[in-house]
Amino acid sequence: MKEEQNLITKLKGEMALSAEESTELDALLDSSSSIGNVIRDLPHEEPNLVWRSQLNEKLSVLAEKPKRRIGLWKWASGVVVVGAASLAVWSVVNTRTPVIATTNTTIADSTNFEDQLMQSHVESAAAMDVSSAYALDVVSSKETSYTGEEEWSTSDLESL
Amino acid sequence: MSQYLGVMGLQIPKRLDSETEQALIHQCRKRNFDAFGKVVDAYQARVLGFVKRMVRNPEEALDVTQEVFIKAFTAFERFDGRCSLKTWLFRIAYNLCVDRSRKAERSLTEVSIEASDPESDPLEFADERWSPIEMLMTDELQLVVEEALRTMSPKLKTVLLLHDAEELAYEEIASTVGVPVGTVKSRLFLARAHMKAHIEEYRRGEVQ
Repeated sequence: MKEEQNLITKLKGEMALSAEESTELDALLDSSSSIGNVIRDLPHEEPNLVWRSQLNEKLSVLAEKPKRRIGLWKWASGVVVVGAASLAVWSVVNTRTPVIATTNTTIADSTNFEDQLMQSHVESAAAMDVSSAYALDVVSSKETSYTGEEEWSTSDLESL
Repeated sequence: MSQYLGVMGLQIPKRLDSETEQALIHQCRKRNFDAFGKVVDAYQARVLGFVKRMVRNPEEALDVTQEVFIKAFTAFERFDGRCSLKTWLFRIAYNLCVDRSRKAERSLTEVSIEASDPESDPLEFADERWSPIEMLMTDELQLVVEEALRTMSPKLKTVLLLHDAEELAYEEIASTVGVPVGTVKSRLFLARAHMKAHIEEYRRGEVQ
């Protein structure tokens, strides 16, 4: 009796049954088959003709609809997606974007920053010295400026 | 294309033999309206009987049954023949009933078989309680059986109807409901016990 109650408890809890319990359950189902006959004998009610007519109308509408080419649509949409993805990848790879970077790579590579800075200044000054704008400016200043340091001598005046 | 298949269908035998069914399936896959009409003729009463006991409301049951056949018609291309046509139709019906129950927010909680009366229904395992002599169907007994089905848990009721009324195999029910075969057997036994308790109660009342 206790085993039977345990089995019922397991059945209600939908727990896993042992091999013996499964065999016992099969036997119980066999012995209760007359209940199955009662259920089998329940009458089946036929739907009325109005119901059937409504169903036929709905089905005929569906039958007249052309079949959707689901496979074709799937294929076409797949091609479009792959094409769009390829285009996007190509445009990313082949587009040249401006590169922002510092230009003092020489200084950065140098081990002595001060020496490089000094060299850069000297070179810049030399470049200014040899430039035409500076030379003209010097010539111009020599021609126009008079400091008064050179005075005329008496002999110079007499020779005039 | 006939619009009056319902009238035509009355002359078609209700049980399709395997060869006829295979031929109909072949035609239905091509959306043959007439062939599908014969399928409806063969199964409409059984499907309606199942749905009616699952959803309770008769009007709703008629709607759901129509929906079953409409779904079957539109999805026939996907019917792979791994199960029988009957099993496939009842699977659609079961799923639609479950959907309706969810939409209506009905409680799908189990109704314990002990709810009937634990004292008068001790769930003993004596074989004589299943005596076939006492199980002759009368109109009154039919009402008792229908009442027992109404008070039964949907889980138990589904298995009982699919196995005992529609004669589906345990494996077919298991795949339809989505539970192991052992669970199907457990539920079937509990459903029969629930039914037996109601019938016993009816018999005692009749004797008194």
